Amino acid sequence: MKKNHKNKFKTPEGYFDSFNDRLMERIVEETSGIPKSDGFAVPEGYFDSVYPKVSQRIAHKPKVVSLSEYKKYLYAAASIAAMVVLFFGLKGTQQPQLQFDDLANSEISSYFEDTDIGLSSYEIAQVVDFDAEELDAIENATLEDELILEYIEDTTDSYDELNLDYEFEE
Amino acid sequence: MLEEEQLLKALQNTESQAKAFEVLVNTYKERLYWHIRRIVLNHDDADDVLQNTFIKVYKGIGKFKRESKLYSWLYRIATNESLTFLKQRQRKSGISDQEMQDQLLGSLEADVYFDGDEIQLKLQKALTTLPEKQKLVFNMKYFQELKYEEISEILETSVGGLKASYHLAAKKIEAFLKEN
Repeated sequence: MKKNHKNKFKTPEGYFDSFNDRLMERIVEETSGIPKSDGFAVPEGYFDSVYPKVSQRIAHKPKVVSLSEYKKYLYAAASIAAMVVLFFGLKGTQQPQLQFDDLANSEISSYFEDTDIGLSSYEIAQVVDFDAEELDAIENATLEDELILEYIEDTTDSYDELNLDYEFEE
Repeated sequence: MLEEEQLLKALQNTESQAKAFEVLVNTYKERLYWHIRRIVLNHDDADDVLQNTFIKVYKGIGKFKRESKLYSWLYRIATNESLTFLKQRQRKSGISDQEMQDQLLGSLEADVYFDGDEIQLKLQKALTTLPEKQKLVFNMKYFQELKYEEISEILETSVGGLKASYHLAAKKIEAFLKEN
């Protein structure tokens, strides 16, 4: 194409490259009957409240145990909890002997939620004397899907890698 | 992108992090809010998800590798937080996708911060009929007026694919509005 050297007018960089797209967008807007406003509103002053709310939540965020750590030592931690609960249970009431199976998972979870045991999973593993058979059982133990999903649901915000790998449906 | 570079440096420096985070929140809160709101529809839910998004950003900023631009990383987190929020709610309620969409529309009608008229409510109904990705692309292009290149970075999809999704979505919405 012959270049017009007499033309002194200029256009923004990439203007003609994006012209078709912009034209198509205008055509969609002006001929489709789709409203340009979607009717959403926010309370007055809402945006001023965002940072104070976020910073307050950051200041009070509880520490969360990572999933791999949780999975690895769940059985060890559950055993400790069971022993503590059994110990106090037997000492106080002298009721018929309770078994580990008598404990609901929810009771074990509540124990850890309500009690600061002050020990890391590693420390617990160091203190508890497992024999080879028990260690084998822990290492090869599989958690029920429901339990894992429940845990993830409750603590999802600490697992960027789970969330950021989300695949969109085409 | 000098400003973004400076902000990132300040965010990844312990001494300047708090102030820089405040700047980041104030810079992106409105854009991210509207992005989230158009996915979850209800204001209170959007507020929760927006806060969750910024908390995740705060926790993850030290690990941000700069392989993508800051805004696209923020939008990606906001998108994932919104979709995860809806999926968690759906799973807890044990309802189907369609029932979930109906529930969202119901909560929108009851939301005091939705002052849309009949046509705007129909538009939301039309949007619920679209596949997830088409809905996202349409909202980002039509209402948020993001460029295809920006959407491409956020959704990690080719510009060509996005254009196809957008025009398909617009056609479907147009047809829905005419039929209803």
